[in-house]
Amino acid sequence: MSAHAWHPIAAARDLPPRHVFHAKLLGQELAVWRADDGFINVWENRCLHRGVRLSIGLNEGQELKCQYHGWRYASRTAGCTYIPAHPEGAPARRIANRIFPVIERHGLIWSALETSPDDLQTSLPPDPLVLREIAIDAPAAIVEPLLAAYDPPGHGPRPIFFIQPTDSESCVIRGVVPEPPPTGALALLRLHDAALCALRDVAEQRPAA
Amino acid sequence: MPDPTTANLWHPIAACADTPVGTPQRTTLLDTPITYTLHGEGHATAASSSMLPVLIRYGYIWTSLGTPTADLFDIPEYAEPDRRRFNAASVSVHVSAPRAVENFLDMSHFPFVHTGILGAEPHTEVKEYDVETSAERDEVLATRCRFFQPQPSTAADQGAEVEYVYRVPHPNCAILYKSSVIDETRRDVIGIFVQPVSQERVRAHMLVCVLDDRSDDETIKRFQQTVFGQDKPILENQFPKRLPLDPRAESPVRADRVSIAYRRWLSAKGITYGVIPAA
Amino acid sequence: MITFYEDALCENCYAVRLLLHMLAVPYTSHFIELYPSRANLQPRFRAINPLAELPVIDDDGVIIAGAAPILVYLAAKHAPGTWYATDTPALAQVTHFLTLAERLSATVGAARRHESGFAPTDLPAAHTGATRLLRGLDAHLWFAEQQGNAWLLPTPHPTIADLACFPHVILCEEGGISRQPYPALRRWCDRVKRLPNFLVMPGVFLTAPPKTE
Repeated sequence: MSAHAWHPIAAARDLPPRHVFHAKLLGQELAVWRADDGFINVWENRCLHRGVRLSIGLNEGQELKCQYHGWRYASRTAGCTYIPAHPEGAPARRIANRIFPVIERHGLIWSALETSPDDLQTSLPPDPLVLREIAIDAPAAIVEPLLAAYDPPGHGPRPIFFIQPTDSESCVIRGVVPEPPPTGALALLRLHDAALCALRDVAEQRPAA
Repeated sequence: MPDPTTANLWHPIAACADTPVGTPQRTTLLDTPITYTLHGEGHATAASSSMLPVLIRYGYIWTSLGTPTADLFDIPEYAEPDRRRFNAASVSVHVSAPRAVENFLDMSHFPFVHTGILGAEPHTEVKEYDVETSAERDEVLATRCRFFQPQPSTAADQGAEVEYVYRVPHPNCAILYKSSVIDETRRDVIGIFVQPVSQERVRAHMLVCVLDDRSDDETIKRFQQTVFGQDKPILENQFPKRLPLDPRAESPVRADRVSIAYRRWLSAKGITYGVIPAA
Repeated sequence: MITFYEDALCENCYAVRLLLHMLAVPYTSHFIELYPSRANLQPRFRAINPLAELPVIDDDGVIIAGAAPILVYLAAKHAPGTWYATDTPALAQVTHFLTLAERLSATVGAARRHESGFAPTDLPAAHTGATRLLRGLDAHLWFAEQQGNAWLLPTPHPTIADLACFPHVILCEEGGISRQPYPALRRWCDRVKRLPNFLVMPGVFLTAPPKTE
């Protein structure tokens, strides 16, 4: 559960244009958004001015605009570019939000709380079938043994699972099927979804040790 | 435990007009459950584990968990007979009292949060205004505040640059004086009286005391509740929920001079309830 | 002309207001304050709706009460092929989500009314029920997206099913229920907000306009 390690925080499909995804990793809230040029921004989920969550803000393509006072932050640098209360002056250069590293790979978005961990090492193919994420109100430590014992429904291939620790009390299961069959992807997604929801019921009934 | 300054303040707990007469009611003030009863003839009683002092003022029941060292602030306009005066809203918000007050003192959010009512892009500039903290009156005062508003009040037909005066005579109460569209020599008065339920939850009561001879009470209430309802989700998405008093904690700009003065004034009073004190 | 009895902060009224605007049906609004003055309990409103509940419309003497019946009435009258379903399975699907919206109101909505001080409720029970329903709705929309569908029904046009559920979902955080674990619901909310003639209410923000190629 290291802050230096890469963790999946979203699926690539979670970031359509002009949307702000609300993520959480190890207790840290993140505002995640894809700029119109495709660049993915992973920022601390707070406007520097008065602390309002940026995940309720507006993804305007190249900038994220805060809902409270309309402050704008640039894609890539997270630097404040415009303060509407003072339209004549340029914002102070030091006003830049905290940014986190990001990699888009294997249909998932990966980040880390501390900067520049080593490159993400996985042996996955570039474009696996990504299962629906399952958010669980139970710690990762409870979910891990349940996932280890996961019995794939039917006779399909076993997915590779990653556990995203959202905070000390909850986590998200993100699974990918490396080599899905050429047809029947939707049925496969539904099968795993139902099995993982059942696993969640078990996890949430277990008292945290 | 609240700090002594906060404990000894008068706090609003309900609007008289919204309180059934003769029936005990419950509320929470500073984490303390309170029972209060409004009797006829403008008299009320309140108790926690023991009887509490009670004041009825501006249409609200006020009480204190300590020993109030001062009378409640004065609003002379409240006595003017031609004004419409009533509680326009009592809204619960998951935020600290000082955050709610600071939002009330802020003009620069109007175009973004109260779009089309109290502000609209591109009229976003906050012009220079004056701020003073009066030691003699023990209050923060912001004057010459000017802002363009598309619909300044229920009595307005069109947009106008309105002039505001903000007054903070109590750590959790603020009063706004706004140029009247009915009579340019007088000002509408709107007060926010915040009841701190806990350090991070409030009920905010809004007093209107306005010159408006054509809107009915429902229209004025709807207007104020809409405005207040727009602020609520902003406040609930603000972190930390307690107001940081360290001047380096957030990034104020010139438009925030009244908020800087307010935070400094709270620090000087030694308030620790609902805030993150400066180190 | 329709008379619409509503409260600015009531989510069930918001569903009706949204449809009235999206259909561009003219109406006059009559404000009945639910809280704190509880004007809905006054005899003059009880004479219109004996249940003393909002929303209510009076369409030249036809009085309809409750969000779901009003949505059905307006959509069936003004937009049967788009906002309201006409074929058999779709009719059942719409009914499913109208019923679900009522259950959202009894859980998500109850939590919001509790936190707002309007009406106390069993908050843990409301949150448990809300989590179950929101998880189901989020999963439904995720699979809808997988199949290229944007709305609750597999139709190219949104229906009253979307408008009935939307207010509860978009205001859930006022009941202390985070939308963070429901990414498909958050994306669907953006899509609803981009519909023509969309209208905010207090507690609801606009989203950015769509990307233009």
